[in-house]
Amino acid sequence: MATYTAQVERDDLRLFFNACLSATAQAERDATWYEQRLALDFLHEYMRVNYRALYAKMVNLPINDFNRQQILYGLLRYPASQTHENPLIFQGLLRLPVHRVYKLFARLAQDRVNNRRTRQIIRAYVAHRNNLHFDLIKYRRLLRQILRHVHYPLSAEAYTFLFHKAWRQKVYTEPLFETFRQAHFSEKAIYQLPYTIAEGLAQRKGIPRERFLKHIRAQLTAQEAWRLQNTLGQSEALHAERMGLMDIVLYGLAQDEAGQQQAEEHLQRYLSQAKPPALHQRLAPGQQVIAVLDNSFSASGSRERKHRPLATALALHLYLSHWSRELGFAYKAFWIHPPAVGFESHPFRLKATGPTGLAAPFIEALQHEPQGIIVVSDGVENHPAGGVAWVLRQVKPSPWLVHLNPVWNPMDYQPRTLSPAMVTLGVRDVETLPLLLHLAPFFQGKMPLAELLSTLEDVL
Amino acid sequence: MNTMPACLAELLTRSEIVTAPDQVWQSIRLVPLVTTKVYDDLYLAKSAAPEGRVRAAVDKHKVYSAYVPHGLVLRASTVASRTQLGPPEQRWEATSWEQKYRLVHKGKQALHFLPQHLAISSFLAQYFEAPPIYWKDFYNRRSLKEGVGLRTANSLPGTYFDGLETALRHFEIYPRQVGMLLFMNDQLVNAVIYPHPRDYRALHALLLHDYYGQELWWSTLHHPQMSPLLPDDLVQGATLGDLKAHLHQHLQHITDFHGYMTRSLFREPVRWNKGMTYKDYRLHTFLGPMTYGQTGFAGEVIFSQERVAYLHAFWLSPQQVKEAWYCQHLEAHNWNPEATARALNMDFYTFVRKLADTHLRHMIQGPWIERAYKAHLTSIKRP
Repeated sequence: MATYTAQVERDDLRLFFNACLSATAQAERDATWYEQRLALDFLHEYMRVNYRALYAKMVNLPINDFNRQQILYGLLRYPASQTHENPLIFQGLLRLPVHRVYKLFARLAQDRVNNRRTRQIIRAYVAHRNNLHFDLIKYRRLLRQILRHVHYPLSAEAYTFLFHKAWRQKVYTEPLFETFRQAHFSEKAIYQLPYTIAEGLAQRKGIPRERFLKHIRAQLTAQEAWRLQNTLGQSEALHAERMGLMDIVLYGLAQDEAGQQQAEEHLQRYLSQAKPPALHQRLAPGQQVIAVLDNSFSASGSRERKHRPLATALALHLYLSHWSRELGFAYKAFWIHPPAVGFESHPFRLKATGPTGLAAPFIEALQHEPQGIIVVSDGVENHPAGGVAWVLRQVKPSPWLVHLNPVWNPMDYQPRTLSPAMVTLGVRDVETLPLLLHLAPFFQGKMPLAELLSTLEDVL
Repeated sequence: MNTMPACLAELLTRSEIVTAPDQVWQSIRLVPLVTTKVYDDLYLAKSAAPEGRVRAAVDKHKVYSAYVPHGLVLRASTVASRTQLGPPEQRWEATSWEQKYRLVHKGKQALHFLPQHLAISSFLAQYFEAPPIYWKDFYNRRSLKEGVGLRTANSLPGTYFDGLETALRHFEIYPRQVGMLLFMNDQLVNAVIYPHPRDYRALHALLLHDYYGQELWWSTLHHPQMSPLLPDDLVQGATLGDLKAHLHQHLQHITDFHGYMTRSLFREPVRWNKGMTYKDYRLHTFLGPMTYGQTGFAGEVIFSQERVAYLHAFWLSPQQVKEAWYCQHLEAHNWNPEATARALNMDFYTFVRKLADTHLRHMIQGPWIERAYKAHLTSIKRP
């Protein structure tokens, strides 16, 4: 009985961890955002009720922001008298971007969650931010709900700015408030505001987009400048510490021919600047690893997550081929549809077309007798269906096998699997590959949970 | 030179078109048709044909009324036509339908037509000539003058079928795909072939707006998951080379299996209707074999001596097939009802009654129908 319970627990945790790695509430090719949301909400509730302690610990594991936000919401919305959760929650909040935190607080306010712990956590967070006046401008609508809800002690001026009906008639001593007030009357003041706020005001004032973008340049954050670089018509310097490989690949795949060249330069610069990762022992020098990569039509993703599966496969290819050269392990890639000539020098010309025939490249990979095989695919196999599972039923291969799936399937609460003999992990960012390889034995049931939790610190 | 191919499979062999592994979504199975020879001499696109509900006066007393989801235009492929469609064409006016082939319209440089309409509209009316002899006042005067006219045909657009839109959206189009076979509950219901893979990619979504027989709707209400075609297990100790060979063989088996599943459309001899020519190509409508109690196909094909450029089939319900079956038998006996009844080994009045139960009732003079039913009543009253 005890072993059975342990197995159920491990499967539940595996299911949830997988969801936390790859699932967002964005539409995938096979499922709408609503189906994703529905399945995720259920999964979170199930975990929160049955494994609350573990659920709270997940906050600080390397999961994606969407799921971290959901966990924090669950913990605060349905309180339990466990004080040891509080530091975990606060650490979790600090890992989230500010806008997600404020959205989370506003949602709690809308749901009338007003227990003492929630109030204290919100106040502590706002105090910790130590940037209230700026936040009052940038997140004015959210903070109006939040601060009123928790009775946050505000200065008289901030109170007037946030809540008074005639807030525009007043002159403020705080320069940020004053700029914001002036921006409602003068175009010049608009260009001193943060971009997201200025954008709305500019539209309300009917300022032409070109003129607005020309003047707002100084206010753009690094990410905003990167996003707008094509609109602005000037290439933006790469902020390697702020950007990941996935960002560059997604950017490159979305470009036309001229933009692709730009993206290739970004990629080269990024790879030359990147610090060598602490790779898993499976990728130690002398090892040979083969990637079977999916560039079938379904890799083009949904409208909301355009090219996401293809970008994951391509990013893994670029990551492994770069670090195999640098760190001295052998690497070879098999694409389902071999890319056109010149792919190595122009990786962003890759296209997602045709059916998914994983079995043939998988057999070819096995024939090379590597130490390990990584398959990146959304798991929708149709040329023929069930090919990889069939191959693994016929032969017991010696290399370790990992299937990385960038698409979460809400119908069975996990990414589509290819075969019971191959472990399937959700993947969002390929640069977490060392972590994913570390998790694989746990997901296969070869590593107990306690060992995973104790060793996870070293990997991170 | 002008001999017609006996069956449609012959046309597929001309173009080297074969099936590829299917993709399944719930009860819908989509089988791609992939070609090895790509011809670039024709270009098929959506045309500016009238869309939606269309009414066209045929003559003073008659109106042709139909729902038209889309029209197609076939041109000789030039660089200009591939990159852009040129100046917008004059809208295809409903008045031009009054021509002999009202569903096909041959312009100076292009052939316009309404897919599937050709098949439906001509399904009975154009395959069978009017009865040549006024057999014992059996047929009424109108049918002698106008022939077998099917007055109405009911069908539903693909949007009515649960899962079809999703299935088409999820389908992974093959690089050299020129056509598609569509199965609902493993019954072949639609087949298309377009001239070029590029045309197929552009027109893939039109499959959703095609006509599907009304009766199919019931069969897709409950949608069991169709099983994918999985490879067989091998004996123990197979090498990777064996696996590779077996995988290749399995893909071939799938092709053979689809060949078997589509035999009713492709392998059976078809009956050709009068056609028209466009450059080296010929447009013909066809009627598949009509077997009493079975389903069947009507459709249209554009082909040349080298290849098939276009194919579109329309699924016929058992009722429609039954009508065509009676027509075929009547025609074989020069439309003599007594001789046909004898040949079918049926009592004459039973034959008349069964005929009157179909849409062909409108051809028979009223008193014959009355007599047939009276005879039937007396026969069942008898102890």
